Amino acid sequence: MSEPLIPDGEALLAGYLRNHSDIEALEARVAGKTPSSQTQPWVRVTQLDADNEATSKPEWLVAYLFQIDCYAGEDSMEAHTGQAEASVLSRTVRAALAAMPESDHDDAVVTSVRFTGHGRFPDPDYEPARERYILDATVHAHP
Amino acid sequence: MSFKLNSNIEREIKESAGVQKGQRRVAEQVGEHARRFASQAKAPWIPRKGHKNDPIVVKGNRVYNTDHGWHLVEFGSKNSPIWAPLRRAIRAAGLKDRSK
Repeated sequence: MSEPLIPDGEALLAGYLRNHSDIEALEARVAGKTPSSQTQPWVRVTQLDADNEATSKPEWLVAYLFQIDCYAGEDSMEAHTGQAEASVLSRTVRAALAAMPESDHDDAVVTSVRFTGHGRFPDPDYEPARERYILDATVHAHP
Repeated sequence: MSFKLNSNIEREIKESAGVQKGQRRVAEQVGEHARRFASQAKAPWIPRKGHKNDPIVVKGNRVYNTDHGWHLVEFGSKNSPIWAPLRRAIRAAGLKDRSK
């Protein structure tokens, strides 16, 4: 019998956000890397860590640490509304994630979502620097 | 016997020698983990004067990444991967980020 795997954190989070109606309404893409087309806003999900929750049996409840970059699109940057667009996107993502424990997910049960950072860090690799809000979230999930 | 509430108790505990020593010890552990993660990310990146070989500095109960490129390494960018040496070091030392 093969051992059960912990949930794929990035796939879980990105899939949830991608199918969330509030994110779709903003026409934002959700990806694991910088998308090739950057005219519309987008969300980049990166798993920074996944460690065992001390109060749980080993390899059951996992505390995932995510960085979620919420970028403004090129169109809004040209219209000088990039900061507002990135801000709305980040707050929409935050609200969607906060509701994650109440939703059903394939191959995982999410028990809690906590935010440990939510700052504005424009990306200096663009000219002009692209508006971006960064959310740090800790997501507890088990198979 | 009556007791008078000490409104400064929290500050007094924080400033006590034992707590300060404990915090310094924890900060040193976080610093060691941060150095390990920074080294995996090929630190130093854009070294600050005086920190050519090691960008991670522990001062009292605080841990700093002194590199000029710290924000790119910690948070990433369009072209830079996210290494997050400080945030990962906090967890590796067994601490938790405070929820906001």
